[in-house]
Amino acid sequence: MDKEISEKYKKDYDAVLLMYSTLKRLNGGCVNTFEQRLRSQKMQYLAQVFAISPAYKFNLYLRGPYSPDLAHDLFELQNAKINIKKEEFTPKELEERFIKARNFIEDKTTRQLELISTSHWLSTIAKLTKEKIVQKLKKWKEASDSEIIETFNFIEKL
Amino acid sequence: MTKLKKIKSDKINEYLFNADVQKINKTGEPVFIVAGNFSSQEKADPLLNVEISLRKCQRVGLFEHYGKKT
Repeated sequence: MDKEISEKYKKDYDAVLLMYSTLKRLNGGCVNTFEQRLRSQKMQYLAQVFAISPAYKFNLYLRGPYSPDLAHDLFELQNAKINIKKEEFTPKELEERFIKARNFIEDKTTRQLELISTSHWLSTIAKLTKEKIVQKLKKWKEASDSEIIETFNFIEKL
Repeated sequence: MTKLKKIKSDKINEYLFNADVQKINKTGEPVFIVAGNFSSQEKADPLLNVEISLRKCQRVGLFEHYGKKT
């Protein structure tokens, strides 16, 4: 592989391509608008939760888990005009995981994905209690009681 | 092979039906090991490493014993 191409990305080029293919299959991966960038970030976060995409490091930002490296790689892919093939996974177990992830993600709004990924990050990385997470969601996201209940119901399905 | 990594303990034919599989007879439980350099793929799921290797047409091998340099 061309070393020059590889050095443009934050992860191995082959891992970047797998991430991009996975996001494209989830109807994400575009970075033209803020909404698209936000949704792609949350999709990738959840794709990692389902272990169907190579791991990027996420930190918590105002709008939930965000990976600067992922943003960098998605912009590089867009600039390079990569036309990625939407291939199914070869190991059946991976494809089954993908279908579960797609079923989970595809009907969610970006707001729902933001609340789910934020709650998941606070629970698994920050190790906060449910009560603390509820406080944070209300304070940072101005989440309503019904949104919070819905979010925790979704998280139980992860 | 540059580097080997344990990935799974069974069902190799199901997962890797079209891969170039090599079985090496040693003692111990059968495991999947995939060839490739994974140093920068932090915390990547082993099956993702298999997927990447298959897409790169790399050889994917089955070893019955792991833990030693092969």
